[in-house]
Amino acid sequence: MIDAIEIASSALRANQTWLDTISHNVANMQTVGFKKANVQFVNLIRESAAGNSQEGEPAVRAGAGIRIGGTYTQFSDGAVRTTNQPLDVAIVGNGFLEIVLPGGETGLTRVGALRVDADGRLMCRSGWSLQQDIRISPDVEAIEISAEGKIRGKVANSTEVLELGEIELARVAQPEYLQDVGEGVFKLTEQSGDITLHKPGEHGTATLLQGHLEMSNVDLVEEMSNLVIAQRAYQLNARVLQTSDQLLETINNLRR
Amino acid sequence: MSEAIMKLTDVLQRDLHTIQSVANNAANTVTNGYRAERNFSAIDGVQPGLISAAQTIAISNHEGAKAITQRPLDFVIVGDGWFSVKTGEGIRYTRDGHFMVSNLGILTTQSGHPVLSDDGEIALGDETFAMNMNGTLETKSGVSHQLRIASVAIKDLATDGLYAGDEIGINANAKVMQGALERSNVDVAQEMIRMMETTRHFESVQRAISAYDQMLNIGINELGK
Repeated sequence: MIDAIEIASSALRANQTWLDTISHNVANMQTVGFKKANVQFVNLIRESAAGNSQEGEPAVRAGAGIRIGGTYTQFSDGAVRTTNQPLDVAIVGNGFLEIVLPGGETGLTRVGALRVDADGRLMCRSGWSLQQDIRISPDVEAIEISAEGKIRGKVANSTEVLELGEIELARVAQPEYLQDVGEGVFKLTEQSGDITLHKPGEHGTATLLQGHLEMSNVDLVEEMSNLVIAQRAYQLNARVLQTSDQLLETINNLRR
Repeated sequence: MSEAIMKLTDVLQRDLHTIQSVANNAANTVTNGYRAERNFSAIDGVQPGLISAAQTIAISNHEGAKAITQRPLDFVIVGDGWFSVKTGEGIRYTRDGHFMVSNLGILTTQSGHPVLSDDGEIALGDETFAMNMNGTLETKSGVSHQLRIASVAIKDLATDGLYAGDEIGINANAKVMQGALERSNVDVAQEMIRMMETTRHFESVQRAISAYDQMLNIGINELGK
């Protein structure tokens, strides 16, 4: 039938995926450690043999709609919220906490909401255990986590300051290629590169901010303007689809 | 007898091509770096009165709007010029500056084609880099790459959103901005008007065919009754 119908439907599908992505971002505007996703579109083409009737000339390339070129996660920093919890850390800059997922796989997260489990081991509040083994015994209070990740504390009724450990941050070469598996966890992929461990503050690695949490990096203004663009693009392509339908009807009525 | 109908059918075909062109532009209102296309038909020089079967496509040279994304690997050329990209079929061009670093450390487009500098592929590894307004990328270790920005007469579309054309020369004065992308240059109002015009034209040609069909009917079946 008319190619315009296929072209318009490819655009409708692509814009719908974009709308889904925008919706996901907006829904997660208050999620701790959430990183927004963006989509990129790519023009499709096909060879059209009917274009040029002269012999020896290459076939004319005609457009064939669009497809989603890729959905990538944008790792800009989110706003930092004060919680005053001694075991909450916000990661400011490039870096992740390396965690162990059930099943033994390594994961990465930006959610620095930590707690101490029954054995005194430092772990994430959401249940993931940290790859690093840092122990804080229950009688330690006044825990201090410096920007370089050094954890210090004082035993109750004593003035001695104990060095409890040092948090190391994980970095990958291409964080945009990390796979977002939800719940604030990112998994490594072939293109993201492997984890390298750094001390916070070294070689451009992030620093830690105790008593704070990093909120989502979703920008409401950007999402709203994307929403307007996606909706209008969708409408325009729906209109093209309607017009193609009209044309087909006219063709059918060529001979009554 | 059928000559008039054949001519009119040709016109219908051309209108369908126009609608296809409109559909392409409408679909690509959200594709970064896209340039709107318009199709043209020419009068056939050999047989007067006939419209040539060849359709030419012209690609608009209007600059699209710039959108700030703050992503360090998003580039946009302000003014004339195209990024040069290496593909299996030779050098192709694009205005879509949404680049990535492949796992071999090379700067590529989002479809994986290497972006060219004056010296060939750009190997960045995982180093941070800075870029000045002339398109010179300087990595932390001091290696500098000059993005190859060419002035091109665009002739054709190529795969993965790239464009093919005849290179006029290297644009030494091109201005490149980091952290922004060029949006599609499709003029939505124009496309709607083209669509409306073509639809009505299509309907009037259909009327003409219908009228001619009726005339033939009278000529064949009514005359001489």
